[in-house]
Amino acid sequence: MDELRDEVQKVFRAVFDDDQLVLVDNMTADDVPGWDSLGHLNLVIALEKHFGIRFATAEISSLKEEGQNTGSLLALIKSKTSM
Amino acid sequence: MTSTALYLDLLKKSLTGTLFHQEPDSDALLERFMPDFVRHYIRGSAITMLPLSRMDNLQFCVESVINNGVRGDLIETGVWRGGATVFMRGILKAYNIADRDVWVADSFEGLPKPDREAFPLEAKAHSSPVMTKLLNHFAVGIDDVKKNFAAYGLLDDHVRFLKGWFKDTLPNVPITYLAVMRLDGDFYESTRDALRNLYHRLSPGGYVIIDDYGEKSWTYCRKAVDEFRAEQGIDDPLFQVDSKCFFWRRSTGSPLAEGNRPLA
Repeated sequence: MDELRDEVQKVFRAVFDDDQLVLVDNMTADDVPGWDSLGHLNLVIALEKHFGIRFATAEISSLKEEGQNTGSLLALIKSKTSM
Repeated sequence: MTSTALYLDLLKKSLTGTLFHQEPDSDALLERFMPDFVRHYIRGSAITMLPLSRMDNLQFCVESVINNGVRGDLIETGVWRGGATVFMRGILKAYNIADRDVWVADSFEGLPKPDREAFPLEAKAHSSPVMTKLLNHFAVGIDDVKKNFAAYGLLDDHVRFLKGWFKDTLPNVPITYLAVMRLDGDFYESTRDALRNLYHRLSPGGYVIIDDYGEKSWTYCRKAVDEFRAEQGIDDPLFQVDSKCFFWRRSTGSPLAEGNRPLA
């Protein structure tokens, strides 16, 4: 999971243009400057490209729902990759 | 397939970026459609945002007016990278048609800003971060559009550019007759201005295609069309290309073709 976290963190840093961003499980969109509707769209595109995966419609919308955080995102990506 | 059909099929797939990639599902929910839309069109190499179903419809309309001798030029209002108009020119050239022009009408500066009080949904869409920062209001410069025509070997004297807002350019456009008018200006006023200034030039048997008639979440395009049809007493049936795009034929003949469904 650490390798996966590092890779997802790379994507976050690139999308939100923050080289110091550290990904922790309880982070939400409110904790990341720039994670608005545009940032979310860019994040989905970048994650799908980086990992060669495809999110379902419900998965994309659920990522910003109450109770969801980067831990949920990591688990979702893990379920779609071999990492 | 004939060589003409093969060329037009290849041209369509090239312009839509579907030779090697699947096009986005325009009926998918926005959450899924938008990432695919950005990847395929905005950051991709497709020259048109029209899905293949709409390119097929455009081909049907142009071939119909050629085969039936319907007099007039072809126009698209709102062209983005120009792909649909490149295709129009390609069809004319493939059939050795030399007496019709293709008109390419656009601001080439992106979508106009809608009035916030009159058109709140459009104003919200126009000012959204995705529209302003990512889609750049769909602005593509006229030189880039000309380059796209040239890349396909289709930039010649039969391609006529109309640069500016439709309310300024269309009233005095030197077009006598139109055979196909494809309206893709997205918003209410763009659609209304195109209909008001062009429809009286459309020959009987010609076609009007409305790209966003079925789109309700961010535009009042449908309202502009419905109002115009009511004002003008137009009762030619509307036919559905897909969930968003509709068209009608200015005639009493039936344009019904395979895959086109009458509006319920």
